[in-house]
Amino acid sequence: MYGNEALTKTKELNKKYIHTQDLSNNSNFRSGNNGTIDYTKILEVIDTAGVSNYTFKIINHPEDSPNIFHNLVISQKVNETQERLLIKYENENLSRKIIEFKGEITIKNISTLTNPCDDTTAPIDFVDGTGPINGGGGPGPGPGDGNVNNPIVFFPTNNGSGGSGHLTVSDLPNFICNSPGCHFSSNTWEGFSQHVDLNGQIYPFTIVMRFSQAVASGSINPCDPNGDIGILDEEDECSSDFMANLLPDQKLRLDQQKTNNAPIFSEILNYVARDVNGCSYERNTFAKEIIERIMIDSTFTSVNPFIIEKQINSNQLDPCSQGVLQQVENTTNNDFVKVLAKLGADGSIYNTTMISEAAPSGAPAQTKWNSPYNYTIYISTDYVDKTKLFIAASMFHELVHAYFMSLFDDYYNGSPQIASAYDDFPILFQKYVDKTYPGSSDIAHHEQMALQYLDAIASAIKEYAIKTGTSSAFPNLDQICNDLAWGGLKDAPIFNVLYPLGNAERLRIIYRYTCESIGIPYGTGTVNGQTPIGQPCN
Amino acid sequence: MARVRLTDKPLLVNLVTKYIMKYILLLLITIATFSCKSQIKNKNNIETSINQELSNEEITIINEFLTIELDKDRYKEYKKLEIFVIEEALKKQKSLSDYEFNFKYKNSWGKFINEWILDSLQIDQKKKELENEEVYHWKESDFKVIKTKMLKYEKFRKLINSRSKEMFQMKPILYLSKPLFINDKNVFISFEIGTFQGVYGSLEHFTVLMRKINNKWIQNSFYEDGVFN
Repeated sequence: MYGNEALTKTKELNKKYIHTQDLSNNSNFRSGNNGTIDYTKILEVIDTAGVSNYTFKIINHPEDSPNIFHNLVISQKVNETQERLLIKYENENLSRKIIEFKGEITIKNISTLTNPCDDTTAPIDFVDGTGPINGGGGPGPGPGDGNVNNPIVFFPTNNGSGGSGHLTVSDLPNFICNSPGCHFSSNTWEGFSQHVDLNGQIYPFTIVMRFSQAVASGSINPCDPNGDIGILDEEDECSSDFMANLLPDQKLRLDQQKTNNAPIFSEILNYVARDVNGCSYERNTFAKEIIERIMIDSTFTSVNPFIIEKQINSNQLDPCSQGVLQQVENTTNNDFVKVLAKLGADGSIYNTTMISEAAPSGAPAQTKWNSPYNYTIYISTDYVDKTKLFIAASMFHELVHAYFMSLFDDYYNGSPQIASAYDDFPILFQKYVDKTYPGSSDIAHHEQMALQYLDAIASAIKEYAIKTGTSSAFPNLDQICNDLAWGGLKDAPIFNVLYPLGNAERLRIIYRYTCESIGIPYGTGTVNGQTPIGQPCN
Repeated sequence: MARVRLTDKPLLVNLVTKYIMKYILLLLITIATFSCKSQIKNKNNIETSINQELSNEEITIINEFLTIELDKDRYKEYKKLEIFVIEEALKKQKSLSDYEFNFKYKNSWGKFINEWILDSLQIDQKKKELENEEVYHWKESDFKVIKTKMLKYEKFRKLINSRSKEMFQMKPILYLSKPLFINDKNVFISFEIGTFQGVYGSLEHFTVLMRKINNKWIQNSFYEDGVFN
């Protein structure tokens, strides 16, 4: 919670309990510390036991450094006393991601000032996934066996003066794949383990675990040998600021995603989170656009599809084609937005350049995989009388090629590689993974496109047509747009299978595609003759 | 007054004739010499061509390649049609470029290539050899296994922009390179084929490594150029 909501909650808690606990009190840490609590943002987790847990960021703590930070966790049971924990994170590196955490986490129960238990300290290494080092007299290995595929359970040392609670990474993490194009997300350990390929290759991810459910899965007293304590990731200030500046209806929509455990919530926070360049106004703006899209259409469950259109370099397009592209980028067709979004988002690693130039192949458009993550889309300067609708159809077609190329790069050039890249693309999987596809890459792309994107392209073409002046009641508009989508595939084997020579629809499709490419009627005087509905550039 | 003997004239004619014959003979020898040079063997004992003539081996390779390739199901709709060949051949540099493209990204784009026949030094060497490569002009007589017509590249470009119904033909347009010899048993060929069905579109395009096995040329490896139409 943020802003007023956070402040209200703070006042409520403060009224009852917080004032009794002054963090400047030297008892909080053996070393004696001072610090203030950032009340402007609070993480609230209501765990399965019905306990509300609130996490505050402590700022200006004298021990703070780039790799040390503190949190205060208040666990509020209904009609019961409040439990408070002070958690100190000492990271050996500067990473802000919990998965990259390597160092010590120290927990102190500060509920009882008069008799606080000793600090409970656990060495933790998420980097190697080796789990804690059990100190002398420790209880030995627990369920966490050092395999990062499994829940990691840490058994702090027993060699202190009594602190022996065990520290558990909760059973409800939220994993978000870091790699662009990765569609993975999970809120279960099982889901996480599925993100490991057959060779044991693990893909980078972020655990978004603002507060562990484990806090309340029993005693939260770290002095209790059977008690569990959660781990907390530091709140990212960029994502916090982003949340704080959302409009009420935007926040409401995002909260719904969170309630539904949809990955889109944490994906958006991850997208706007601080990177090497700090916070990004552009990313925030685009993230808000995504939320707006979600508000219009609730079928989206992930932001990954939104992340192509903004990074498509269109400087080398002629003015007419640039105008078409602007409309193309604003399509709201679900499937096609997913294609567009991946290639063009700010910060996207996919570099797609669209240029007006005669395609070397002689085709009206082509897309070239230049190198990993670098694609060039040619919109041919030949076909000089083509309509804008033809240009739009070509762009949609070529963007799907670029999208398929991005899957290829996810799979082969990702760092690390994304094993699931082709999970939803059986033809491409056959071509690029199990190598059973008999044809060339071009043919495989077109077959996959026909099976999976034909309707999306047709729908996007129709939307473009209507936006640019064609009446939605135009006779046979659906048919026309569908034919244009198929026209881009007219030389693919799949087209010859579905529309073989002599098929009644074949000529209609080819005539439609042709008439839009030359800007005048084609096949006039025949039953399949077609007249362009698109407008000329000039 | 000088008297001209009757026999003088034939003697003069004979002398002139003799000189003419000598020059003709020299000319013939010269022509024969240059003719032979159009099918020479280089230091690697590879029979190749210079200038605008194909060697017998090159003609064999091209035609065996086309026999194999065009017999595939991919072209079944076009089999009975005449093929237009772009007269200006693709340069051999295109074959080398496609190979190098795959070689450069052999852990991703080139991952499906099962054999790398040239290393980077050899690629560079081949590039130098092809620096001054001239465009070869195909002739109908080069093609023994398909019925062809030559099509100037310029005409092809005009067809693309034409609004006439001449565009509406399914006849394949073939864009082909001469073989690039790696050694006497391995050559590259670059191949692009498309068709006008109202709008020009590509049917297939690749560079192939042809290998001679048991005196037959077979397709060994395909090198895709990263282009999608």
